[in-house]
Amino acid sequence: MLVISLGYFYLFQKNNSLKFGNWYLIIAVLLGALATTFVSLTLNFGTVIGASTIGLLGSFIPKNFFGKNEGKQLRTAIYCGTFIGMCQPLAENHYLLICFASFLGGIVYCLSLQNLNGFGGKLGTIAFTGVCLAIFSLYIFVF
Amino acid sequence: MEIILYFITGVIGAVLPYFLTRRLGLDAVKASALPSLIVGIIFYSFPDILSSSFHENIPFLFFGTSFVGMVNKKILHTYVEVSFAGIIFTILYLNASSFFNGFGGALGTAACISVLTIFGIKKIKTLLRFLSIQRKN
Repeated sequence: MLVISLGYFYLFQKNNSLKFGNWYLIIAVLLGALATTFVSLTLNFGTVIGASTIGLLGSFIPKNFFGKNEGKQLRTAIYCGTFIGMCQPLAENHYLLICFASFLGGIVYCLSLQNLNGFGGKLGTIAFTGVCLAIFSLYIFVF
Repeated sequence: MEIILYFITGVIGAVLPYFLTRRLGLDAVKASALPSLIVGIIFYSFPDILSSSFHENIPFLFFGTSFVGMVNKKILHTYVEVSFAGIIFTILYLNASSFFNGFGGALGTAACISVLTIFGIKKIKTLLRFLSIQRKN
């Protein structure tokens, strides 16, 4: 815990600016999550194949798709969405939960564009935050 | 024997995407997704290739450690550091609580923890230097 905190605070001290990303990144996260859920659960290929297939397909988006270097952000946003799509069915309407989780995950992704860049596991952590927030909200407002 | 195989998978899963990014100049997303897809397809096509526990865990372990391998070379400079991050990930994966099972992103969070741990260990030297300067002042 101590070394994790040390690493995190070192990074936070280096970069504390906050910049919100473009809105279409949220849609990219949403599309990645829904496509992964479709491949892994509906087509029954399993989560690893589903997530890696969609991630791989997304990585073929040209580097300068919407603008300079915007395609690169789209690729990572789709890959972030695939991690949300790896969720096992946790509620009755799974696709709706995934939509909600990926919307929240997309907002977190847009907020964290400047932080933890180049860190392995950043996208997964964002996805986990989105899923946890969605399930937490579900328990508070629905049950 | 089982545990050794898990650790080997963890190290290969972490080093391979790092190698593909660093040496072959592949995009980090592609370098992580492509080997994971190959491993996933192998285990999906041949369910009897290994015992059932390996069949369940190895694709997830490989996919999880591939997130560790997505790390930038400016953060973890050497293959040894990435390998250690892979080993930490494997320890986390094998000993994690089942509370968050089925939550998307749990593997990525474990990967982030392992990378941050190695990064933190590297920064202990900086912290000690900072503390010694503070003490002098």
